[in-house]
Amino acid sequence: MMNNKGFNLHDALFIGFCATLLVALKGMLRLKLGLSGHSMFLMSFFYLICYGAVGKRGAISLCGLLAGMMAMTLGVGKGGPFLLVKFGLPAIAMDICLLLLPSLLALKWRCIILALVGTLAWASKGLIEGLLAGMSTQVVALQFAKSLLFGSFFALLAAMLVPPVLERLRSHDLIDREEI
Amino acid sequence: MALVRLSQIHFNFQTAAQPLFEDLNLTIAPGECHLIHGYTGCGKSTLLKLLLGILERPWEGEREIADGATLGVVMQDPNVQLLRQTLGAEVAFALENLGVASHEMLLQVRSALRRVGLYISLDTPISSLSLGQRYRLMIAAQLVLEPDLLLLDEPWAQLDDQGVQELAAVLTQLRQQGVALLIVEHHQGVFKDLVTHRWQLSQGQLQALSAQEVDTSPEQVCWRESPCWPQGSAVIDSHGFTLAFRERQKLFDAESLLLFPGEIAALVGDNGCGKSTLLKSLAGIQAGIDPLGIKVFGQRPKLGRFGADLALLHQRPSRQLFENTVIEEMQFSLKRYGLPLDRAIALLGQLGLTTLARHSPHTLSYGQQHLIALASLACLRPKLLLLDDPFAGLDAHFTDKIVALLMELSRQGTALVIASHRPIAALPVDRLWRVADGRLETLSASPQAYSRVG
Repeated sequence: MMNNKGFNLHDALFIGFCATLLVALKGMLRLKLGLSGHSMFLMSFFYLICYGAVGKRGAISLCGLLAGMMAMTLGVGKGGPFLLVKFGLPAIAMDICLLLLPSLLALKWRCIILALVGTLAWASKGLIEGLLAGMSTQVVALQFAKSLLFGSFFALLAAMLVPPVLERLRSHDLIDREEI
Repeated sequence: MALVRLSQIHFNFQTAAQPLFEDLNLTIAPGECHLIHGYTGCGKSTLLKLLLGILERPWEGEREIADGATLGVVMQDPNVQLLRQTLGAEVAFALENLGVASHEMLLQVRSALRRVGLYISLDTPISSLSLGQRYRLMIAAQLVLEPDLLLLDEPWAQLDDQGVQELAAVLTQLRQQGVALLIVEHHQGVFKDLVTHRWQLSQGQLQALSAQEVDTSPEQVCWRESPCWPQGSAVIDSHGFTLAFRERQKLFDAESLLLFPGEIAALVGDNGCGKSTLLKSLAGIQAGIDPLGIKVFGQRPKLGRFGADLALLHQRPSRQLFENTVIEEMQFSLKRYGLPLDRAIALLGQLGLTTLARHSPHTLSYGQQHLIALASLACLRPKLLLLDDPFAGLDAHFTDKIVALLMELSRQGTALVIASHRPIAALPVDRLWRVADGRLETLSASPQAYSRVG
């Protein structure tokens, strides 16, 4: 269940932990897989862990913006200030989706839907960038479709991993959410 | 004037059927020493958390602390509480966090160490201290904050007799200085000269215990009346060995070691004498030692060599619990070795722990974790079961159940080695391996037991 109470220290630590680990892993691994959309794996995974562990509105957005600011400061990835959009946009989209998502839906399905919504927002960023740069509509649409397809694949992979990880965190008493 | 007062406390874990505390009351005044007994998992450690104000789950009732009163706590496991590398740094930790000036800090650290009788260099590494010394160090680290009430969680189970004596002397002195003490402890015969109030935590309430109701009988070796005669090949066989870490002082010498199927050996010795190292060496998982002249099942012990035939229970049960629920934990190895899964359910029923089946093993009490870790190994029915302090944190009820389980395993042919600080009166043994003064002395119920067979 989502609630609107402010973040406590426990929540803040989890949000910071997810953002830091996301940026640190991205920075350390510097994966050059040549596969479009693989960055959605880590991003979806940590945003969904943050959602599961904190369970409060705005937690994912905060995590995304924090990760974006950290990536910008540390120079992880290309794009300068656009990194804030790159990390923040999927997170904000996920949070907006949570406002509409029925809380009775099983956690696994919620994770899958949120991961897909995040990927849509992430792929839209490329779409807007392409259009602003004056690329042809056909090319931009093709790139968008490709990003969406591959991004969704990696995001779904991450979404499937999240419920068992949350279950482990709960069994170690690190999170206290009955629904998990 | 009361230092701490708990009134009409109600508390319940979300998953528990019955409340842990129901109308619980407790008042502690300066200079008093309260000793609280209770069965495994009855909420003794939770009560300490409540007193300290760190119980995260909601509870009802009133908790009053006198103005300006400070509480200190010494937890069950020193390895969890000690944070720094050296003695001085550990005691200074709280002062550093309070921003005390360094010249004042040094005086306060030395004074606290003197109060607990630790007259050793501030640069001494904590790793070189005995468990008894570590306990006193934990107290010193609390004394720098000048606590009015010191809480201690089951010190007896962790300490050998010398450690208990050292601790009792320090606590007596603190009480004379006006510090109130609250000790939760299974063993009833301990700290009897120190205690002013004795309680039994039962059915969610604290019930006063009189001195006459207390079992103070000392622990003695109990030999098996009808000894298990050596049958078949020796499970453990050695013609003598020296246990020592490479390039370090030896732990002990042993002349001969023999154990046959179905026999029970008690491995007894003080903290740090090498009991755990010997058990790990027998399991083939001890690093940093040269190969010993010991054969297990006729082979040199090596990690993974014996599969389900050998099982080891570690001193810290949390180290070997990893699944999400108790039943998954117990069935993990059964699945791995293709053994019937219903053994786990049957054993939980036998131990009266069926209600814990869906609980997380990581959130159980120390004693309950010990039970689950032991049960997870026992349901494999190994040929050799090595147990490192399996009765730590267990009350008399569960001690009896575990003794019955071990005797049943022994009858089925499992050889058992049980390490502890002191002999366990409730458990009849065939052999006693006592480590003292750098030697492992072997005693047995019958002289024939030491003849080599096969």
